[in-house]
Amino acid sequence: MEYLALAFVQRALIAAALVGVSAPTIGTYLVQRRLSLLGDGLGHVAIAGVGLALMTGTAPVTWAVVICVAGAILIETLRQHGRATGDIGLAILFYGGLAAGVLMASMAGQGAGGLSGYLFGSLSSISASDLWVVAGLATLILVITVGLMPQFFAISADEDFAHTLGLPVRLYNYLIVILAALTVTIAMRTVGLLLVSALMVIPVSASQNLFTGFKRGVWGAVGIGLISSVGGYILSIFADLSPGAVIVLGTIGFFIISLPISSLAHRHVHPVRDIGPDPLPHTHSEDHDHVHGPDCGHTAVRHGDHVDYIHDGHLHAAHGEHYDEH
Amino acid sequence: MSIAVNSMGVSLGGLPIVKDISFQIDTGQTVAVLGSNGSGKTTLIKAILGLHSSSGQVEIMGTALHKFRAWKKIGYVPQRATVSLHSTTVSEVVESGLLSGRSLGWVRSRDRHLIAEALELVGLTDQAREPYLHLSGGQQQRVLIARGIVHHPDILIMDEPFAGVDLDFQAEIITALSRMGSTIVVVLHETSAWTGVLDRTLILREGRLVHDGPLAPSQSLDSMDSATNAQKDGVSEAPPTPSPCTTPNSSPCAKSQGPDHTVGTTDDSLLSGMEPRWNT
Repeated sequence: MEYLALAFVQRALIAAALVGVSAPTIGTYLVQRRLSLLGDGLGHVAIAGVGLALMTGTAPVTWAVVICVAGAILIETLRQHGRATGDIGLAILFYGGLAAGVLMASMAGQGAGGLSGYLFGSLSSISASDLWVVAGLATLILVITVGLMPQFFAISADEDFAHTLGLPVRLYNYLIVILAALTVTIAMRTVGLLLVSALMVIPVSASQNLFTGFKRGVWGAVGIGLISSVGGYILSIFADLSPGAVIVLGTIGFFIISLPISSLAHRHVHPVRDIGPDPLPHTHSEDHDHVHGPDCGHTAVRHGDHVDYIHDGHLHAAHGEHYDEH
Repeated sequence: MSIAVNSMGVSLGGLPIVKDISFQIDTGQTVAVLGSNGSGKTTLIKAILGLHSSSGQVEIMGTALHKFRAWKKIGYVPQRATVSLHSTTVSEVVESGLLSGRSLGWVRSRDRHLIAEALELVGLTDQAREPYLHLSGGQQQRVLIARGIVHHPDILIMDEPFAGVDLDFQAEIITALSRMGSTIVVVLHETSAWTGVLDRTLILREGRLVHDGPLAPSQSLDSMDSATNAQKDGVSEAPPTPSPCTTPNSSPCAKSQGPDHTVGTTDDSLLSGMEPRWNT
């Protein structure tokens, strides 16, 4: 345990905790908008910033932020103009960023090896100044994503409806991708640019399996991200493993555990067949001494917008004060 | 005046979808927008809401659309919504209807009864805590109706809100909506469930407004299309069987308070073959 008294370990733990909390928070909205792999693409773009910093001898985080935010704005602009659907533009941007980063790093005399600390993370080499940058950006990300949680939820779920609420949809869409870009850059020293997307998305998916409700899902994802990051780093110290890999595999472990728990939670619900919306002729029955429900034992059949239960050879559904017999 | 549209045109991907449409909807009216697939119904109402850019003028409650800010007075029910996170509950989806561009944070506790009230209206009180994606298509549609009306809008705009919803529930919801007193604009394929509620119908064909007036509730768009096509082909068609609502002892049909005329230059007689079925 003497490791925990070391300054570089404490800095690494704080950074891991901040990233573990921030990444799933913004990742929730990326999953909701079906942009789960955006973080991966932005990670590629950020490599160009790191390469530029290595070539100019300046701070990598600063240039990674600038290049990654610019890339995020470009991606969102393409999406809003309906031009990102072909994926060709995105592919050029992502792989162009990766190639440019490697090229500039080699021009700086460091080759691809100089990038490895950013590609796969290097928690133990985080300096005090790095930590201040990570803390500042993580605080900004958390304040905005938590403060605007209902608004971000609304536009991620249904942009048209959000517009009719009077929400500044375009502005919030840009804000989400910019925050995603900032998350990528603060995570490049923890899990690395190639693995950051996993920390943004997998805790969200695991939490969705464990908790019912959007808000609970967000907090559950934050908890999983925090435990995976801090626990993964501590485990990596004692087992002498790569922290980024252990952290990401930890989130995958949570996801695997969540699958049977999710199945157990829904096991009592009988599978529902769908027989379509056809409004069959039916009669009414006023009395029925059995209350149908998901665990009543009768086979459930989806019928239009309600569920019937097969009962004595016919379909039977509660409707107000009476029962419909199909 | 709730909505005024003057010479509206909408193009999508360079193709004109809505062409030179003008109409006005008075406060408290219930107006159906009808037309076959691809006639421009959804594009029209999305343009009224500013979701598509358009030429011409649109005014909502006397304010030009680009200056309109009172969105809390507008309710919108789309054909469907994309909710990807499978744990999102019915209550949370409805709650998003109470958000406003001028306030931050989740809904205040004193407004929570509005969510319960809206869910009760669509018959989904017991499903409030269930994941939205676990519901059937018809139930999901009822959730979207609840989301659109939860804030008691002055103007309610709905795009085929009853896809997959049982007829019994349709009647209950329509009755409740009509009691709200809102101005209602609803895109429909089938008007029979709205008997006695509609004041006017707007009929679109190939992006043009070809009728603005009352319509018998049993009017079928298919029959309208065949009549239109027959007329275009120069084939005369025997008048269809009169609607039950034109007989003296029938139940009341459309309220017939709005204007009653076909519009357009080339399509003025478009619906003449259908006259016996119009409730005039």
